Amino acid sequence: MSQAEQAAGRAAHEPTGGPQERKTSRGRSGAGTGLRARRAGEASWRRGMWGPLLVAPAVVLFVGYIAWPVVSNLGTSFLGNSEADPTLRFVGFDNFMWIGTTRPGQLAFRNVALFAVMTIPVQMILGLYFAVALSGRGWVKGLLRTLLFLPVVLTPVVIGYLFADLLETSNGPVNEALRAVGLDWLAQPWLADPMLALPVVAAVNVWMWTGFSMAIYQAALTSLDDEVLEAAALDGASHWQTLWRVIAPMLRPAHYALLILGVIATLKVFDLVYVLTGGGPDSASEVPTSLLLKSLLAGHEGRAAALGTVVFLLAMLLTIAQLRRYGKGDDQ
Amino acid sequence: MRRSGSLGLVIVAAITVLWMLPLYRILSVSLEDGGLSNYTEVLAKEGLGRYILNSAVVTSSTVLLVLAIASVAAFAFSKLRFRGRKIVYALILSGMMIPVAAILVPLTDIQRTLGWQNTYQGLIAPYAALALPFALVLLRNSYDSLPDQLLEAAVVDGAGVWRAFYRILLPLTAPTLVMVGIWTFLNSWNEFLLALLFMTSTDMRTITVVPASFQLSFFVDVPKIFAALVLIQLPVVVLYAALQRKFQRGLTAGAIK
Repeated sequence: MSQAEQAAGRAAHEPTGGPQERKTSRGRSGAGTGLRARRAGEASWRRGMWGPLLVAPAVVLFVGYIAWPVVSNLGTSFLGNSEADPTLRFVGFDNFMWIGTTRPGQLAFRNVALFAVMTIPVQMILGLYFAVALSGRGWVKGLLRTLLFLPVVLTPVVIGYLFADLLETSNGPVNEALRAVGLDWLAQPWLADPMLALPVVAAVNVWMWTGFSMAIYQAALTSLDDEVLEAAALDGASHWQTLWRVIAPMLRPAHYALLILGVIATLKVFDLVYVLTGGGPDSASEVPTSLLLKSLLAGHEGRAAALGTVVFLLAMLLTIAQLRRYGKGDDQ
Repeated sequence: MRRSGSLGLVIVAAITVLWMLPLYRILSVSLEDGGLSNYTEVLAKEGLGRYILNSAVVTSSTVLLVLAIASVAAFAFSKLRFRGRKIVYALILSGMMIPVAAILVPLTDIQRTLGWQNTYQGLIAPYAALALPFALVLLRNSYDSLPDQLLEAAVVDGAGVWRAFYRILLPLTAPTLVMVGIWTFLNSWNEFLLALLFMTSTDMRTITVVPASFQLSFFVDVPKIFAALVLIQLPVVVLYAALQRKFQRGLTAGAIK
């Protein structure tokens, strides 16, 4: 955005209107009353039909595909049907009870919490390590940063198929490599073991997203005060001490952003789970979205909608937390 | 950290090599058995070209639609005055982090009502809607950073509001347009859930839905499936190689403010 500002600054100094422009800029530097008078004069064109007209397409798209679906989904959450009677009727909180009391429903939300715990801190610590180790100039560092960020742009479904093959039980390369070095006992049915399925999907997620944490930290590091770091080095602090005592605390905004973005991304997780385990075995790696799709395809629209509502409420809580950080950013 | 020795760099380099092993694997397996003929075969016999075309149509339309709609709206929210401006902006902003899951059931109803299953617009419309709030925030910040005098001078000169926007302000938001474009491109190209639900006919499949069907038709011909996976990633990787820093900025924009 700084580039845009510079460009705007340049353009503002270009003599577009000659004397006319000079007059306006003098008006700007004038007293408050002059400014207010000018505001009133602007009104004619600033307040015309252009505003509503230009905003209309965005509003239509937003209302039709986001706002109305959210409301409609809330309504459907309270409807239910059965195999005997497929028409949807009002069932009160039955669907939410179903989520809270059945194994798949409970596991889906327990798993999403576990998934967040297994991925976010690991991605943050590894990302910070990479960002610090690769900070500064040099083509080697640049190349390594480019490579580590690469998984972030790849297609999750493709990553899913790739790792499904790598982790295949009988002749996947991971197990073959383990057997080749005599570690047969470590060769596991990675995606078929109920204890391992979720942690393994989480590990693939870490592989994909650590580069993102690295990029966020890298951006935050460049804004750090060099003098503080040099002072720490002069005090005889070791690299680790500098990293944990001096650098990490100064990156609080980045930690916070990664935490919130991480939790929201976890709420959305689906592609990797669908391709790697399908939520199985026996719901061991079920997540809300995979359960929602199953319910929808099984004809349980109400349950699917209720799952969507719970996910929506959780996401909204996080959005509020995020927006509070931005303060009055949307208020000019 | 600036003095961290070359030993540290060697360690990170070694980790990076390990990190890249899965990607080396995807390339090497895709060339097993038939070599490059795996690629020509999935393109010619399995019609992967058609699916890549489907994804290209959906993705490029989504990107253009989002850039157009978000640009005019961001300009209006930033530089024009009209009733309900703040409330409408805040409402659209609140859609920024809504997961698809929260609206999936009604979306399937909308598709059915409009008869948009297995159509391009059936994916373009929801993709654009989901990308809109974030695009709007970034672009509005960009317009806010352009001085008002620019627009005032142009309008006083006799250019209409539209001309002033189109000729003078819009080109100045180019860096943000690139970021938003990259972000929207990746989101649509990589999207799976809606494509899986809405594109059920063989002809209309987009690339993310294809591997599942290939698994059935090739049974266990892993090299050919992997060749298809590589082809699916090719446009993304080529663009990333060309615009690497813009990708990183585009994907991390808005995270720290």
